[in-house]
Amino acid sequence: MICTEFPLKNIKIYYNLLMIESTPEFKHIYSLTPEWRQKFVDDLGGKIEDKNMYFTRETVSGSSCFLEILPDVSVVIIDSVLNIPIRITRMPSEDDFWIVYYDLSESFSKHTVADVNHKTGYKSKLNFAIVDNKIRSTYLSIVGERFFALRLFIRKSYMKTFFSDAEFEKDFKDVFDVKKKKMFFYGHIDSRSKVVLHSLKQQSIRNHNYEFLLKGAAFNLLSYLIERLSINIPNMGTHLEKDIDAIMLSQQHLLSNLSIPFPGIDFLASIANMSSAKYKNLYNDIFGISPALFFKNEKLLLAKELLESGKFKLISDVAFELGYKKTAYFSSIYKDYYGVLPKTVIV
Amino acid sequence: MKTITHRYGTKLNWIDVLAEAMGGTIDGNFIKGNNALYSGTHFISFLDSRISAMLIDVTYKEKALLEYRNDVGHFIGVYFYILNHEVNFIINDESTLIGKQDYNLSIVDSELDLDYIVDKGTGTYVVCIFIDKTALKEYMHKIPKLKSLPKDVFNAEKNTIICMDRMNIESSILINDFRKRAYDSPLFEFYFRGLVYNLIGNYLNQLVTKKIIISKVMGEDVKSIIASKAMLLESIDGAFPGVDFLAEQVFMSTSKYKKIFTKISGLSPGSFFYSNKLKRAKELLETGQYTVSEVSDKLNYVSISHLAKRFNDMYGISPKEYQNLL
Repeated sequence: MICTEFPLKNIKIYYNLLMIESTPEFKHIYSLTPEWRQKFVDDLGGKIEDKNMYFTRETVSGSSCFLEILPDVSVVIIDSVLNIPIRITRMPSEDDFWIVYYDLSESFSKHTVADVNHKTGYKSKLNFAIVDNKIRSTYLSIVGERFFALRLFIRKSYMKTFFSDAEFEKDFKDVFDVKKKKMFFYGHIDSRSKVVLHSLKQQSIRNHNYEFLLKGAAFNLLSYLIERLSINIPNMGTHLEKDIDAIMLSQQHLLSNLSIPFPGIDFLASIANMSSAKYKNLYNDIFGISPALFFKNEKLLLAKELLESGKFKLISDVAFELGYKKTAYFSSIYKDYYGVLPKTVIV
Repeated sequence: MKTITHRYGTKLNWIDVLAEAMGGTIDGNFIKGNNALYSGTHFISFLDSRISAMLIDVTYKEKALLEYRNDVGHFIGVYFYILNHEVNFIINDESTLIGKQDYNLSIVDSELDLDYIVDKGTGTYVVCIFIDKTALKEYMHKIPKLKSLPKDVFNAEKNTIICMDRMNIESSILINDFRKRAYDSPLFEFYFRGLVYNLIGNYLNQLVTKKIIISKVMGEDVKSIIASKAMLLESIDGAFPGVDFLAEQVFMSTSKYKKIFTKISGLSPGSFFYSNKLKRAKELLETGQYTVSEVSDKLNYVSISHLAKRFNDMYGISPKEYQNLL
């Protein structure tokens, strides 16, 4: 698949992909009411204290908070560290609701919806999803890193009240056809929501005021979501499995080839089997940035890791590893991104 | 002078009373009015069985006396004010000014009778949060540092809980963000609830991290600092003038200035200045009229990357990305 001799994060992911079938699986369900939590903590190891759950095993540590914020809307936040690989599978349950995923983990998590693999997490930016509760999905979190994710559960009939019947029939009918098992939307978290989540991430679930902050965040996220859906419905309908898969494939190609220069839109479009214009637009729609910028950002993220890894003595070595011919150019874009020169970072 | 009597409570009927007193009309959770006395909007939301809240966004067209006479004494009102004029606030015949320069946050027991005198032309934007006393007691009990406090605060004989304070910067950012929402948005109530919960969360945090000021008279020093803060905000586009300069302007020693500033704001003068600058940067980006580089120039950042780094630290997203994903 890829071959590099330094420990890349994305290698770990591919490694995990290969391991996925042999990884122990933890199954759970979600419901709009708090009942789902008992089995969740029983199986994962932990206890429920009022609104919070605490995971106390060595294998899974962390905490979680679940709140019902409206009769038809609930929110759960999970902030934890997994110390062994586990496949976390959410089984479909009876309630008829949407699950809106926001993932602000520190690295990629792998998310499988209806057997299609997606990566989510802070760096990949594909950190937002809306999935029907009736569709099963699986998460594979990276071992040893912070997993921080928030989910909104919204009853479908309630969601409908925000849109006219005609809109709903036209734009949502197909995507939520259970038999077709279409995933609805997979993309990036919008700016405003990201700011809300970022500030929530700074707080500890144990804090006495957390309940209020989470409720506050949840109401804002819910509003942003509805606004976004009402503006973007026509777009979102087109983001279906086939196109997203193609775009994802091309993105994986980029991630696997961080050591070469940017291959160009035409090449990527050919991987995704679509026209360059369509590819560019779709990519921008899904990720919110252009492929070239994404590629550059990922390179710089990797650059930082390499610099900090202690395995490189010279900045020019790192620049070379990442396919930059001129060290000065590398240093200057690095500084633009991080505000400091690489030489201040190299160990 | 026209007298308006408010009777808040956790029951619905006070809305009718208020609407009648103001001469406004009830429309769902709104009371809207435009008459000889005032023009503006009230919005009421019942968040759960123990918390309700009201937004008051009105301008008074004549001088008025607002009386607060609650029939029920079981809740605490937390009021966040944004005012264009000072308002004379009277409790037990002692008067205090509330307004731009002074207090803008008050916590008041519903058992107390309160009066406000508002001048003609006063624009008031107030977020009132009513919390059931037993609920508030529970929340406060969860905070170790505050365990001893509720005893005094809830002492009915002392009839105490009345505390005047300054809201912290997070709260004022939250309120300013919220003010951008249109009243006719179908999501208005969600945004309002989001605001109220965040304000409560923030305030509980403020209680822990900050010394609670329970006093009625404001020292001259505190007034000078508040004036100095206002001046800092006006020159937010420029470079930070430095604590020495600021202190000199209000005739204080640097160390004293820093100490009082930090006490009132919960932030050092520098952090206060830079977080407001970033807030300004975010607002400029939101207008969609400036590129990141223009914002960086306009706000006197040394470089785009400097702005980007600070922005990312505060908001968890780079300015460019923020603009792209709006």
